[in-house]
Amino acid sequence: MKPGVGIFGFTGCAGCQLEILNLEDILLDLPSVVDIINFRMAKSENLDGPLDISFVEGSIMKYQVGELKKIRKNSKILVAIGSCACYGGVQYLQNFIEKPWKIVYNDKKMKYASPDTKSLSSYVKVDYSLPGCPIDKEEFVDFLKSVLLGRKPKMKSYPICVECKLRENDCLLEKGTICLGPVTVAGCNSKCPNNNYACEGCRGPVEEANISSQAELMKEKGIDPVDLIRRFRMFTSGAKEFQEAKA
Amino acid sequence: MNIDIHHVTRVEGHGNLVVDVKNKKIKVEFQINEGTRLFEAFLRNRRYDEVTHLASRICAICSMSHTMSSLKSIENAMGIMVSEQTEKLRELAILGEHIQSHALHMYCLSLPDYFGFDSIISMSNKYLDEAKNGLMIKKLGNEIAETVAGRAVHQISAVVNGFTKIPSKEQMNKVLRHLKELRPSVLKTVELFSSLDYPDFERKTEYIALKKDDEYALYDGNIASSDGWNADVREWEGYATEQIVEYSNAKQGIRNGHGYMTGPLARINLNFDRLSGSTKDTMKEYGIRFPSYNPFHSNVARSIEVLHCFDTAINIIENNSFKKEKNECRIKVGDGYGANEAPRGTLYYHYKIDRKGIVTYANILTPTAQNLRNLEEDVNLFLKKILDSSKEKIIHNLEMLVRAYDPCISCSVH
Ligand code: SF4
Ligand code: SF4
Ligand code: SF4
Repeated sequence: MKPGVGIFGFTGCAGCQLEILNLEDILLDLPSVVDIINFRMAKSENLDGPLDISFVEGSIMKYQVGELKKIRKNSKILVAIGSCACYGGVQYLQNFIEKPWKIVYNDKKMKYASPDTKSLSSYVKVDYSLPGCPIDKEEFVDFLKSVLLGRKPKMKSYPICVECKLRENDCLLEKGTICLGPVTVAGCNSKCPNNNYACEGCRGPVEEANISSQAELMKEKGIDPVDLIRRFRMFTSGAKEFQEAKA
Repeated sequence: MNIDIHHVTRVEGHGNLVVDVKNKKIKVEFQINEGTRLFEAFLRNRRYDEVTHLASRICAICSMSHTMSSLKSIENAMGIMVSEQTEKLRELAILGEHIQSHALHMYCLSLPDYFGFDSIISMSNKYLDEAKNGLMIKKLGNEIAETVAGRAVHQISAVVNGFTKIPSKEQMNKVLRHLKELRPSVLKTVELFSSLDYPDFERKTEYIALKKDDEYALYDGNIASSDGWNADVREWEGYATEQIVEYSNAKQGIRNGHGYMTGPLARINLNFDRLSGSTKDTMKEYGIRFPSYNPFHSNVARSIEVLHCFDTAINIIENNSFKKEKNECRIKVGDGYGANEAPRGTLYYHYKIDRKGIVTYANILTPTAQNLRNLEEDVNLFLKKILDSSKEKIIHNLEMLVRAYDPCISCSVH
């Protein structure tokens, strides 16, 4: 029997689900290897389970916890896709502001507003994480292939710099631009440096990331202390390593 | 009768359509229950060169538009005039986004309804050519966006005052070749979407879109309304007001107490005569005339725009060569406005920037938020027409109407 797959979205921009729909060349062939049981963004007939693999996008607000737990219960493997699901995403930034909803809704009590947003693993067990804002399509396909072949998917344990050097990019850090490549986990093929733009850490910290030496380096380049902290607070400010960055 | 369509499928995000019919009185609520993300709060206190990459995360499907309106608003605040090349490249990127987003909507989200399937995947068992055509067009839209701005979902290289990387001649020629190869499929798309059996329903409303004298406004323009008024983008906050409704996390666009429509149908209704010549000629062959007051004709409008985008993109690539340019800029205090036509309608940004280059205020008005009230008004009237049908049929028809707006719920709760 083909494994049953669910693709779910919580709070986010739907970009990680969209990247799956952006697999135009293989999208129509997917049903030959998996049964897509639930994918509300793309189909109308959806079942709750049982699911062999569920891919879950988005961060979780308090009122969504029940729904997430239901998915967990129905799934053998639960995969967090994207930095919202892995770390809370950009919307985690609201956690650093006092009463942020006041700014947006003039203090009106919103029916669904709850001033906190967290990663999936704050509430349920997550078996695998595919970070990135958005996820990397190829990494997603590789992951799916491994699982379908019964192999244990390999998670990357080296930083963006490795991918960047393999592509022989000019190093931005050496030219004086602040780049988070040394502390960010690989897997996007150094997309930003390839575009002559510094890595902003969207995939989150690499294993054993040396945040304090990165901060030292940034100070040497003359970054001011407020900016330094801000740089670690873009798409993965929920990662505790990045939160520990000090000026 | 009570209808509660919980989590409307094949739209981006989470929304419920709740309808209550009592003694011929109809109450409609499109409840957006997606988590609030509070961008307007956390964009404050960020540097001018950080906010755009954050803002694009409001919405993946129209991230390019968020990128462009955000950049334009910053540049407007700091008094930066971008080069002609930058404008051309940005325009091209926006064309790519419209192609991608419209193809996604037409083929993956909408067409299955008209062909009687639950998704493009099940539809492809019987209509493989159509499904493949749609996906190829969508892919090319993404290819254009990626070539110009580094990535289709959440751009990389588009920055304040230019680009960090300029696509090579070879890359551009490849895109050009693909555009020409795929153009016949776009003509088929226009034919297909002009011939679908749309529900017979009309309701005239106010249509609002950007307008330019000499071209079909997508990247730039003044605000124009079918009610006859015209305004500079700097004045948008005075014309389009947002109202907080207690049953939804999204604010709603309201003018003089009523909803208004923005998006492909509004654009075609207001700017049909500014479409490319070949696009206008093609439309002569089909029966649907504009202005049209049938919201389901938004799909025809999308197909027309894809053709227009193809022809305009071909024109831009054939008539320009692109080279490396400087993109430095000087920080200046200011109040800036930016807008462009996103696939779902006019997107507006307003930033205030202080002398250190920090954003102190951000106000963003998204197309879906603007369309929500108008959508509810349409549902209300449309329901009266179909009230005698079975409940199942009513639900299906209402879902189709919601989808015709192609709502982007992440956008609406930014
Ligand atoms: S991780 Fe990024 S791309 Fe994915 S849903 Fe969140 S904001 Fe969107
Ligand atoms: S540009 Fe960034 S990612 Fe690339 S090698 Fe330098 S520091 Fe590492
Ligand atoms: S280079 Fe850095 S910011 Fe860019 S996609 Fe990769 S991890 Fe994300």
